[in-house]
Amino acid sequence: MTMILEVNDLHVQFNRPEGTVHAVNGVTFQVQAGEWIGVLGESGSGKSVSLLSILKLLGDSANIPQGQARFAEHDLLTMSERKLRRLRGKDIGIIFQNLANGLDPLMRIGQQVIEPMLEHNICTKREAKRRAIALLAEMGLSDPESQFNRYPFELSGGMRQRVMMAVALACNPKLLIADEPTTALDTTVSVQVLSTLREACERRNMTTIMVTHDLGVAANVCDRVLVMYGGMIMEDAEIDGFIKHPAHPYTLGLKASIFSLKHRDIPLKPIAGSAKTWWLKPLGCPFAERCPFAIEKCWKVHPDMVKLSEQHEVACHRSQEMSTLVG
Amino acid sequence: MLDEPLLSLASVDKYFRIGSRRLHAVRNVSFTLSRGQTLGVVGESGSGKSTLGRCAIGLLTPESGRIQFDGVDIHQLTKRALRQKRKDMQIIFQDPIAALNLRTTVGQNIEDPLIVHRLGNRSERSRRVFELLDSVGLDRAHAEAFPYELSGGQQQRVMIARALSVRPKLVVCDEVLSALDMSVQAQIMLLLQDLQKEHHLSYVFISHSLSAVGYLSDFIAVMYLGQVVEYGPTETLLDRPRHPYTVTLFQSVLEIPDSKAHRSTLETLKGEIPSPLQLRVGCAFSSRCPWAQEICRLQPPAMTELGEGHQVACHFTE
Repeated sequence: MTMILEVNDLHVQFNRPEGTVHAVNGVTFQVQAGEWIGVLGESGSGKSVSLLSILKLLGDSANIPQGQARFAEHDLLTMSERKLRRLRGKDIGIIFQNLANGLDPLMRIGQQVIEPMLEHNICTKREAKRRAIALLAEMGLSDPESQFNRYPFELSGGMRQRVMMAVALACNPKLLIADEPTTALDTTVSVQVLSTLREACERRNMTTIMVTHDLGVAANVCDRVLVMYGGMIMEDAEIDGFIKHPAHPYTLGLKASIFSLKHRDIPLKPIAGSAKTWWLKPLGCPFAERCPFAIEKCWKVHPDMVKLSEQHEVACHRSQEMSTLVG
Repeated sequence: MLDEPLLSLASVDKYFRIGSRRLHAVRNVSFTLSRGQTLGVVGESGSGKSTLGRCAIGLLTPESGRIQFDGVDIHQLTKRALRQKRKDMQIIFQDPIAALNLRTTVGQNIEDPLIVHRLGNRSERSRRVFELLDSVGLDRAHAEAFPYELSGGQQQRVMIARALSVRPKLVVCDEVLSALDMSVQAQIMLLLQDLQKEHHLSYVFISHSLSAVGYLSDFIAVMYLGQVVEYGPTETLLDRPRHPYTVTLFQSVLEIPDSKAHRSTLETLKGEIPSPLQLRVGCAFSSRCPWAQEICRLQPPAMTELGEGHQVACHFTE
């Protein structure tokens, strides 16, 4: 297996008039070529920020005081903007969360799919149009030739998401970053979109990192899941281990917060409290104040990743006793 | 009189005019809701569930049909009488920031309905505000805060406190969980359940989340293009769904599987909900139904009773 992305001790902060927000506080992970990784967390957990920041997509208010990010042979954080522009959209495709802003409202959708191919000098205009139509068809747009000249506002949310996927895949990227690709969609449409995306990725043997807040989505499509909280990775697990033996109290809490229609006898047990904005860097474990198992050490000492098995790591001081604590 | 349902809708229809065209948002909907119970309304966007909720409490006037609330036909009431009746029926919306008054404090927001309905003097009202903050799990100190200083979950708690301030009998909850984080959604679900028991409330719980509807409801109505296609007690509907739309909708819910081998195949309905501006003659679902026959395209199916309150609108209920 070859490593395609390696992020090491990444920190991201936002400078606000009120102070500094510590959005990502030391994130380390590796992505192997061909993997489908899910980054799971609630709002403010730093899941989108850790991915968008390494592509310098967050503007000037985001500040990266520390960390490395390597994509193939490139060092993303020290690269010039000019070189980075040659990677973004070409080797790394991105599907943005916001359906309203992800597409240019004044440009015909076909043109938006062609644009990255021309920008990166991949092919001629005529060839780009041919590819764009094929791509829109692959993404499930019926009658792509006539849809080609439409504007985004003429399409439904589901169709716009499919166009956005076509834009992201236009240059056949090696790595695809999908930021909450199904969040704004209806239940059935969201399953359609996931299925189309998975097929497209498998066909291209593309590596995918999908940011999601939906445990069900992550559990059903990803090969591996990174669970984030307070700008840190709490658990990093291969999917079977994630499903069968979730180990971090936060992951367990998330699971217990979802009412299962299949197992309706299992009572709902939400995590107390809510996520907060980190105006100060968390001293110990960021989850300590909501954790039912927190001990004094959790408040004071930052938990390191502990290996539970070959493909399962957890950042919890009490990981060894967790199975007895949960009962 | 106590056995009489709190809310009953009979053949309710609601159109909106869009230019010269007519958008039929709610079509021939009937249901009853007993005191202390929850009716879950589930459907995808554009299915008419919010319009139905607004009609049910008189925020929108239906074109035809009858809405009986607590023994009176609410659309026969004078404006003044309806306004008084509103005390008994409240609504909570999806986005608290759009619904709360951001220029006044949380306490003032909760107190406002009491002033509108002339309930209590100043000191009684402020006592009531504290009592409400306690019951929705907020600090009394939050009364002095402004809505935007609170988290999304806390804001939704303020909305609940405000809706309950006038001691309603019915609360319509319109997508109250969708803007919240998963762990907070569960907190709000438990809160709604506790408050229901404590105050003997009835809820119309509108949501696109089957899981939330399945948890909170006694009865479920599944909507598609303005119509209720299936209705029944929660257990029956979840265990034995009969309408092809309900069946495929349930299959599309991605739950955590028991193992990697049990993951969803991601098979679901093809296409999207068609435009409500161009309705078909036959069954509204026939364009996407995998089992549709000739008759489905020609003739709209009638609601058929299958027993124990389970009703389905499909030509092939066998």
